Amino acid sequence: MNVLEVKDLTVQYLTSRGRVHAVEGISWELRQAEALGIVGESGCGKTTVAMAIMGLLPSNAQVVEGKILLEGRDLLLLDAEEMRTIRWKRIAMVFQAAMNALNPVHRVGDQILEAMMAHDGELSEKEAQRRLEELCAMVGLDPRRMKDYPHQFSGGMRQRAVIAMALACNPTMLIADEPTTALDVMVADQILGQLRRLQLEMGLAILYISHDISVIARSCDRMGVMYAGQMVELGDTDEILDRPLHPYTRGLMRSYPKLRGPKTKLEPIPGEPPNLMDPPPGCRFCPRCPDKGASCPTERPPWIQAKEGHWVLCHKGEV
Amino acid sequence: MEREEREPMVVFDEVVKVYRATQSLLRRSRGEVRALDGVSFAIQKGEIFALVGESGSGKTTCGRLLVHLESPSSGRVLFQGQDLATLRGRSLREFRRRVQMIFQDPYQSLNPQLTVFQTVVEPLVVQRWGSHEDREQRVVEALEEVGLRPARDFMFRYPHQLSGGQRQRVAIARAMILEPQLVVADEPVSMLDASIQAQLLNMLLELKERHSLTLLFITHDLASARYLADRICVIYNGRIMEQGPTDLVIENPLHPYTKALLRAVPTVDRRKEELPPPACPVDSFLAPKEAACPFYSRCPDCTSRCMEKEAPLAEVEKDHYSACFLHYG
Amino acid sequence: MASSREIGKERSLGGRAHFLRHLGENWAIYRKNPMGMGGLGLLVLFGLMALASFIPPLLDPMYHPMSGVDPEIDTSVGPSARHLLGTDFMGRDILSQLLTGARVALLIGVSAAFMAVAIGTMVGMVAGYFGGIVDTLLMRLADIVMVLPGLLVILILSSVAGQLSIWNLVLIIALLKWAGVSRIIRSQTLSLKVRPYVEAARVAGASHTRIMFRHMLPNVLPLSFLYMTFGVTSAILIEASLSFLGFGDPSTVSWGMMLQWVWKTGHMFKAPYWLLPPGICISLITLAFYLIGRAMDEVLNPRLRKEVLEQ
Repeated sequence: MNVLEVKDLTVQYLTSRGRVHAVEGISWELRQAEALGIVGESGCGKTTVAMAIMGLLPSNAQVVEGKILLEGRDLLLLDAEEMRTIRWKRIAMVFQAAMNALNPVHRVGDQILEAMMAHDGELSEKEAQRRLEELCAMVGLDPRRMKDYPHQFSGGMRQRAVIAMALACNPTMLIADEPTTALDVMVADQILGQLRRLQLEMGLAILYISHDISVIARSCDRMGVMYAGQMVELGDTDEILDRPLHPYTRGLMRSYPKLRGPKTKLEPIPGEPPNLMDPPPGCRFCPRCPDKGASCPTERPPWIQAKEGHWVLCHKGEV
Repeated sequence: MEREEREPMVVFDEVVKVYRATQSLLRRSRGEVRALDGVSFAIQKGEIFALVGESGSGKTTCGRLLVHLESPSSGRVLFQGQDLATLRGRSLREFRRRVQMIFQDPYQSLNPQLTVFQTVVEPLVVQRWGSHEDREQRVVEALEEVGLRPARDFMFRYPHQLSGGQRQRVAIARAMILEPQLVVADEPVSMLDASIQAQLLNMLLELKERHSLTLLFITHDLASARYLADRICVIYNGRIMEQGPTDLVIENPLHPYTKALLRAVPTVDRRKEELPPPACPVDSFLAPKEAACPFYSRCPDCTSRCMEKEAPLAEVEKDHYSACFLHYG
Repeated sequence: MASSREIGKERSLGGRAHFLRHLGENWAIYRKNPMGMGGLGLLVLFGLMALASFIPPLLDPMYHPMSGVDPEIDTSVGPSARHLLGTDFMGRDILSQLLTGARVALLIGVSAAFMAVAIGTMVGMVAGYFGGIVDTLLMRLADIVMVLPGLLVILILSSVAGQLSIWNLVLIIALLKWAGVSRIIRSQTLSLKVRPYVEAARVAGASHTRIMFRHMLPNVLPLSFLYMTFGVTSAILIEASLSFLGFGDPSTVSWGMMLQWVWKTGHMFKAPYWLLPPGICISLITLAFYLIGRAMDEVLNPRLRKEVLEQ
């Protein structure tokens, strides 16, 4: 059963300088109790996707096409009121650098309670307190610290607090956008471990968004790779990392220096991503692709299932 | 710590750097931060030396001391045998010609009001090098060397017209234009995307080879440190925990902190592993006693001795140093 | 292949061309702001008035604001075909006085504000950049100056020194008003000082002067301009107040001076055609600069802009 299904989503931004083709025709699904990771570099459109799901796109954004089905219901067809009831109660999000967005003049516990009450007005105080303690246990915070202010918490603790706020209303699904970017290595590892535990023990479906493939590798069962607004590969994490099919994915893997194994020379992908105001007509990765075919520059590549559960956007996907 | 007779290019000798948190003319300052607490290491000519640590470890402070943006509170920083504190006038100018820095943030390290040309030519102007024609030529060479070809296309652009990767290349060109002997690279690629990071790491290697550079590479990323560096030095809370040739430190880490770092770094080769929790709670706010090992509260192997006294950095195997009681009696 | 002379030209043009190009972008933003356009419109109006002030005496000597004598009128009379706004108590033409007043207001306002901002910017930059004892001393000085009751000081000075000329006034206003600007510029300098590109210049070996003038000043100037617009308003008001109280320069005609004459000659309630024009002009010119200042704030501070450009 799919918690979330995205079909042919296309989002564009209207700016004074032109139309930005931020997201183009992506389709994927997030299953129950699963961790799916979307990885891509800056400008690939991954944050736009998250915003579209949450109904938080800015006013100059236009969803040109597509459906976002949450347990069968198309979120794009909902109006603001309906979306507000869904937001936080069914899908919650941990934004990038959210730990820095905690209000410095309110106690941490109060902020979590506020998130709870804002979306579920019928909670009694007693119930809310009980839930707060539950949340602390879930994210690994000491309930006695709830009376502290954000500046008294370390970075990792603040991130846990923000996750607690997201989980306050017991959502079915969580979106974690760059959950560990501003954190130190060891703390980041702990947070990822905590999230994984939540996923496994509570059956929480998590959508991870990151520019760092190693974070996705650590936490996700399945992953999707985005490039220039398109999803170029989708499938099982281990499968993709061991046998990447798309040239971009392969190039990306070769861009990360390894901690173990022989020290091979990095082979970075030459060039830079395309300008999304004027994307190339055919395959968007073609200009940088080492494996170009005849039809690549002019014809849009097909989204094919090369192997069971492993999809790729490439003219040579059959390989 | 010297190799035979060769004098190391850089020596940090028991460097301490203290920042005062509050300033007051009338009262003694309350609250100080010991960014560096007795740091000693040496960099040999021609090597790439990686200083690895998390945020707040003091690694950036080391870089800033080395380029003489700041001075140590105590201890000495030596470059080619000369104490930086004694540099004045001409010797200072000479020093500035030989030691340069690449900053971390490509969005802030270029003056938004100046063109690429104006930014890259600045060191030449300041050092009064060459004529107008000479300078123009040098700028073109420098830009092409960092991959901004053809240089003419980039010279008159402003930073906001360039991508992050391009800006960082400009910053590197600026650092290289005087043909320095030592370059301090403070997290030069951390703010860039993975594929651009890889391009620039390779470029740094090439530049080092071509110009016989000595490089101090400051980073929090062990994987890129392993890729670039000849020697790795691990710093935590203002003190050096471990130091040695790259392969030794990575394959056979000695200090518990190094081991913890290696386990915690997410890499593409590690999947979905569950890290065993450390013996001591990680997020505790306990401030260790002044003299204790800085890693005490987070160390799985900590003992009561670690709480009382910090272990000095000692050579455990050839050229491989660690500051931990585990390794000696 | 561009010759070095082209490079040189480009290099010196670099700063200016950049400013000019930015002027285009900034103008586009400014244009969309109704307050800014209103303010600018008013300013243009006053500018035209100032320019037009040279015309009346050329038409006929009797229209001279100070010494114009109308052979037929020697008292204050209302508007007529001869004198569009009427005459003052000596038969002098009010309209030409009003036009001259515009010239004086703009001259004083802009000069005083410019000087105040120039001094304030220099002091603020030096204090912020060097820090330490220099900073402390300069800022204490600024505090003292800020606390001085401006008008009172000027009144005391003018009663001690006798009549103050227009240029004395400009200087005194500048010396009283630089302090506020210096604090703001100092803050800005403090934040610029730690920007990596400034540090990169230090690492390259740039001297303090070079860093201040090449790297900091251009980034600080927009703020200075903003404060200049505020400064003009207050300079004009100070001059008007002083003239009204009788401490101005009697040899120049300003709006404040006109108000003083109305009052002193007892025509306050008898000659609205004489009282109202200068009063309204003072209010409007103040409004003009205020509106311009608000619009400039939006230009300089991208976060205040209404349009959001997304990628």
